[in-house]
Amino acid sequence: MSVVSPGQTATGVVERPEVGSVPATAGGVDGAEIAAAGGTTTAQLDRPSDRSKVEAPAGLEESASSVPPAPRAPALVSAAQPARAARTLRALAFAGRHAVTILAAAMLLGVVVAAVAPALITRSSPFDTDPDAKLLPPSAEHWFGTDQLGRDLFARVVHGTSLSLEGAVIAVGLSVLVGLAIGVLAGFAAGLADTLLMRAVDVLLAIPGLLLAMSLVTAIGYGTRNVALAVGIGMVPSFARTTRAEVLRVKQLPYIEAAVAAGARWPRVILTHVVPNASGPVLVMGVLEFGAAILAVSTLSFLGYGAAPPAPEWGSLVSSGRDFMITSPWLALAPGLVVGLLVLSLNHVAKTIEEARA
Amino acid sequence: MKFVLSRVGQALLVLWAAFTVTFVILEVLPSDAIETKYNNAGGDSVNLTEENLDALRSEFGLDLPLWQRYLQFCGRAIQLDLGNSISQNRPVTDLLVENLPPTLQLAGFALAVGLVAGCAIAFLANWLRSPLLRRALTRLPALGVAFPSFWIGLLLVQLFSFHWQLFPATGSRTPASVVLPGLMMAIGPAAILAQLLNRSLSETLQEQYIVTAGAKGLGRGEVFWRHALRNASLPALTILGMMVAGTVTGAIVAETVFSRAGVGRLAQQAVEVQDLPLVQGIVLMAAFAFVTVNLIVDLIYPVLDRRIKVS
Amino acid sequence: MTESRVGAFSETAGRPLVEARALVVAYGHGQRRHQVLNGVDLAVESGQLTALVGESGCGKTTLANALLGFLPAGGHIDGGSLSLAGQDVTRATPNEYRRFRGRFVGYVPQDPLTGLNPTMPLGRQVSEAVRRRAGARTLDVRAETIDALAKAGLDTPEKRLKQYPHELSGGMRQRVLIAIALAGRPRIIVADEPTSALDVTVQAKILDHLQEVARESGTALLLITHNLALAADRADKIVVMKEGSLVEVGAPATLIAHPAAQYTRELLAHDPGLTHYSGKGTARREVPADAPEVLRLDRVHKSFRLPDRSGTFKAVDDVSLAVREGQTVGVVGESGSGKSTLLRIAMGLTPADEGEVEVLGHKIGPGARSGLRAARAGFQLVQQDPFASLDPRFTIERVIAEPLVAHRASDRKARRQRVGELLDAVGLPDATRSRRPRELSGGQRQRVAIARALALRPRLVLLDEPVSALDVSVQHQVLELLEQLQRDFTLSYVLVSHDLAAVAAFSDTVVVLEKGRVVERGDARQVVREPRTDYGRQLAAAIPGRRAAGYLTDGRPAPADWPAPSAAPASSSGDGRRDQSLASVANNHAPTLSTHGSGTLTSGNAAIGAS
Repeated sequence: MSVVSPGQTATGVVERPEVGSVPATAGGVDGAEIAAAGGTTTAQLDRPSDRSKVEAPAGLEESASSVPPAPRAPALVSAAQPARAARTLRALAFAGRHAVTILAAAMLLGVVVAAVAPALITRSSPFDTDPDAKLLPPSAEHWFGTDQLGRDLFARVVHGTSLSLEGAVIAVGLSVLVGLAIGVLAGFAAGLADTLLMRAVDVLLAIPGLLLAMSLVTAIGYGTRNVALAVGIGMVPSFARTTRAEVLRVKQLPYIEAAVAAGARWPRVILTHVVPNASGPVLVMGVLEFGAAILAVSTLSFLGYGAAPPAPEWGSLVSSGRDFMITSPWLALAPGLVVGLLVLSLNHVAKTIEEARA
Repeated sequence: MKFVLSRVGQALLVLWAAFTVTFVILEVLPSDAIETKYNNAGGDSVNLTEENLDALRSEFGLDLPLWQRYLQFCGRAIQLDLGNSISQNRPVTDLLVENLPPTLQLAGFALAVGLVAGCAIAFLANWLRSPLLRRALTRLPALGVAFPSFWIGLLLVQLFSFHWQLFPATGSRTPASVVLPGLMMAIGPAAILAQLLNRSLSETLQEQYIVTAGAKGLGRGEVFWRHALRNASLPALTILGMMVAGTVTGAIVAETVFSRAGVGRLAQQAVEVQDLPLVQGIVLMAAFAFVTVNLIVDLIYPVLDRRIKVS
Repeated sequence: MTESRVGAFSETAGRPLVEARALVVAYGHGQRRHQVLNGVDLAVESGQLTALVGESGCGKTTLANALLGFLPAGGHIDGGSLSLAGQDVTRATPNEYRRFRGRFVGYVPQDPLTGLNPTMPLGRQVSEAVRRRAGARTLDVRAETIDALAKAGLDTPEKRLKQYPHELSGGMRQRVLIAIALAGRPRIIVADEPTSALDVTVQAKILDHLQEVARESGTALLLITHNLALAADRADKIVVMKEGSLVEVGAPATLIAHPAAQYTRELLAHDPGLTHYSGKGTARREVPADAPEVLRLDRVHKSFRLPDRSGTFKAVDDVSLAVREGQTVGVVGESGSGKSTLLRIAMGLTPADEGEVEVLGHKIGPGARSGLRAARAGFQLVQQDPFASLDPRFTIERVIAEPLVAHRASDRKARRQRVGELLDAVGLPDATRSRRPRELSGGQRQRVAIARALALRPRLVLLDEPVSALDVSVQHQVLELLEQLQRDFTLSYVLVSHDLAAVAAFSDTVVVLEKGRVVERGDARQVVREPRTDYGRQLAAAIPGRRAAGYLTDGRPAPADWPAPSAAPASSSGDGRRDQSLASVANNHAPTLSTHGSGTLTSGNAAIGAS
């Protein structure tokens, strides 16, 4: 997100919720596939959750049953247990078709666990220094290597998850609340109120997100919360615009008119028809914006406005790793890779939701 | 003519509002640049008394009531006087003009690369016949959108400077020094443009008039160039303004990663020392770029698409 | 393809221009294979008009796409053979196909609003096709382009060259598309429902013109349509299709008079145009003159601001209307006539600017807002598009129960029971209640919409084009259901439609709207058979099935002297002159029509008196 600033996906301007997202393709997979081929981290996460994911959606297996079986499958078929074999076959076919989605879901699951209970993922401490193990390259023991003080970088990344995501959660929460309120209000009010609200949003759009965030941080001070606030404000326009566009779209649909003609009151119509039907694109947008918020927050902390140095916030990990780029490039690259894969997974999930709802 | 005037008026209105917003953010919120400068800057700075501070405040006009300061600010801004930088004690306009050339080079290079790459990816994703390549090109932009630009920059440095030693990792003097930061700045917008254009192009190719064109007996290339591309690129025009304004943001990160001089670096420094007039000046400049490009797009849109009524 | 071989297109004598033998078209492969054409034979002879008739999903468009080489992604010829100009193209590559397009096969798409490139001047769009013509290098392209536009019936063709599609009406755009198809001087033009997106009066004009130009230039026409009466009026040969297979092929006279297939008979029986011309319409009950009024609109006006704010336009202009209990009032008009706005004013969904609206004794208008909601129980709406009128997230039970919930009419248990009754009343199985709209067909959805409208036991139901989104055979079923419900529950209807024939068959009284004004009103049969105004005559003349009805041999003398619309005086001028000639045709024959009309009416009244 270097030029189009964080928190401001292109959506804002063109009023098409899908713009910021991954373009829809006929298949169920997207760029995450490419990333999975190049990235190593996802491979480790893929196996354990693979199975649990396959078992869960029984309804989806039905839809996958018409798919030709995965090429490897016949070897696994045991003649003695035809029913079980068929189930395995279906499960494999499902896994094959949704491999990338499963990988993305696994990534998200891993990140959630890391945020809530980092100790479940790594036993190393993020703060314990080890003078004998300085700047070690990635190995089986230290997946991301160690830093200049001998701290395990993987542990730092894992333990930094909650801090890094906190900002994004606050930012998205704020922008969803304010953006939804403005969008719904503008969509329903029409006329002057609509014009005024949308003009205000336009003004916010004219200031690049990162610059707006930096100005706000200048005024209210550094720190994760302030950065989150600044990023959140920068993301309000796109939410407001998407919500308004959705409300306007749903508002003119015949079934809304049918409900009014049937005698339903407006609050009821809004709650039972407009909000549920408008929420899809807004939800997709929310997931996408969450990714954008992660990028924006990490960019701001990379620039040094976020959490103070010892805290293992992802952006500042990259920033402090920069000093060792020539000798130990993994210090800067590994945390950034995690950010990228996380956002990639979020975008993929957003696209999957979008397609599932279509 | 009326159309042009009304669009220019709207643009000026947005610019004024953006100006007001930054004024409010920076002036109303609790922070004191004078104190920041003279009391927090380094350990051994002179500790000034309240009196000294007040004198300095009135020197920068910070003791006046808010509305007077606002009016004063507006009045000066119209004459392109954005006040004095507190940290450097020089007119903001001078600082901007001084730092603009290297940033413009960088932004120009990045925009050019971004436009060409974005268009090329979208075009090839729809033109090539191999389903594999089409899919790969369709998904490629997802990477450019997902990875943080500063990380991409560091990766470029690692590969092209340290590993292959093709381009310098820092500096802003030689033309070659533009390449890596330029590429880094180009990837994000290229990816977004590619996604937008790709979607728009594949939707356009489903249109009925594409069938009509094919039914005339036109070749695939003729249908593509004459009928699909122009219509498909219209929606992409609307993000041009955002791309241009975004280069300011991109420059902040790129100039930090590559230790280059420029407006981005200036912004970064201004924020660090809470130099409000300077931050405000930079924000205004970015908003001006956004508004200007959008104005141009607005003005040429009706020429490209006659359905947009000029009224 | 060299110029000389292009000339070979004209040397196909003896063989049909287009010949499909046992053509199979499928999408996908393996387990996902889905066959859409199951071995179809088709031959289009030089200079003839062949009509391909069928309902949605019958494969008629796929067949047309196949012979243009335009099968969408995943579609492929999977058996049989296809030849154009005597050359086998079953396995032709896109590039090989290309040489047939424009020069041998011209194409007129369905929707003129999307068929033209919105950002290219019309002249260039036509000249592109001219340049593809054999020997184009020696042509004066500009002159030929103007000529093509003129031939397609556009006035001042020189002026059109620099215009853009959005500056033209739908009918004119369709003429430009015809010009494009003609510009390559093809031997055959494939026209895929070329007029179904247009207003009825424009439809007839465009088809007349297309047919005439094709005949003059000796071009064969393959007309794809869902309307059997329209096909029978115009075609030399009719091909009836259903579910990817041929049902019946024959000349109109034999096919209409002696349909061999049950499906064809059904289509014929339910065609409103044929029913109208053959005077077979069922008689309607008489509504007692002293029946109470359920809806009264008195001098209603409504204007809308134009989207570009350049002014206002009058959607409804001084319209009065009264509906009595048990009566059906039809409101007929083309797009922009204000018929839908009128309906929404009656519903209280759109406030009128001026005039009085009274529904079931309640005044609707400013100040009466609070009572309106409660009064809504008595009058309900059925909308046009059943695919959009049901919330996709609701189950059918919830959809139908919505009015009950909104009016807090009953408790949960009673609601469940009421939904069951309603499903039964509209002929849907009880299990439908747990389905969602997307699982139902269009006809089923419209039944659900009707059930919802009846939930509160209304006395008046307003029907907004209730069948226009449905297939012909389903249309008939839904209309029959509505008539049944009207008898069972003593309902009053206001039926808004663009289809005069259908409205006339269904209504007691008809009001014809043109540009927001009432131009004609009266007894339904009277209006359709003896229209008094020019516009009414145009609408009546546009009902397809005039010639086709002549083929019916059900004991009535075939009115051989009725001219088919295509026999109207030749005229290749603009729309204006065409109007007159058509109107005069209708005028001359109005007396004949009215005789039929009054005859049926008398017998109809007698029948009611007896029952």
